[in-house]
Amino acid sequence: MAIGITNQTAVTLDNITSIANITEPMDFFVSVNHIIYEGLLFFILLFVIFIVIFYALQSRDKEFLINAMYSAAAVSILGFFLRLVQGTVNGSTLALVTDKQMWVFPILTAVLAAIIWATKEN
Amino acid sequence: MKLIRHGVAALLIFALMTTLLVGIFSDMEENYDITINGTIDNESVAQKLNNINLIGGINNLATAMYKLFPPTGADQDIIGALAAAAIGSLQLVGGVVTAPVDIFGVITQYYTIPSIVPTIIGLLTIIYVAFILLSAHLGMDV
Repeated sequence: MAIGITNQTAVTLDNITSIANITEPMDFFVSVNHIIYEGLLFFILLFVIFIVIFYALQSRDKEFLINAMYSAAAVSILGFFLRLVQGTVNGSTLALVTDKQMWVFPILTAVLAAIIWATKEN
Repeated sequence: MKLIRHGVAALLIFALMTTLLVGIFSDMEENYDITINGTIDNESVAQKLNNINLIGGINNLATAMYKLFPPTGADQDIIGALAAAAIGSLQLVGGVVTAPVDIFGVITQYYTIPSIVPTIIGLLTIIYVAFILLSAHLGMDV
């Protein structure tokens, strides 16, 4: 199974019109995200921010699970905000991140919190 | 015993966090008019997690308490509420045992896991067990 962006978006007049022909600024971001990047751009952005925050915390204190949890929690909040930005692409309402993408980090946070507590020594 | 206590506390933290997340999402849905997508049975992944035995048991207990107060005076109500509380407690205790499977089941419903992942986990388990057996055989850590 291939992992990552597998399909290339063809530069067609339809696609260009869909991206350029907008009235709301947020529609533009949502269109670019869904037409060019197949809805993955902001999800990848969330992952990048997760890694950046994680390494920033690691440099202060080398606690792998705890740092991952705090990082995921911070990205979850950002994910909720990105989910609020909706736009219309080809007649359907879409957000910067889809629900499934948004729930990855909150669930990761909850699972990590459970693991950290379950493996506490005292 | 100490380990079990930690496990139960961990699952309660998980339950609490899931409930909070569902609350945040419901408020977003109501106040910001977002259109829900990616649902199964009209429920998002966190809502599904909110319905697993562990959290369902707590909800049943809460419902039972609400039924007892204010009392209506009818015997059936009190008996029904006590029965609901008993079922809720059983569900909660059972939910602690089944929680990992429940959580994994819900996640696999929503996300496609590449077929390579179980293979890797299987291989790692075999290597792990092999090293334990080797350590036992040699009588020292390897």
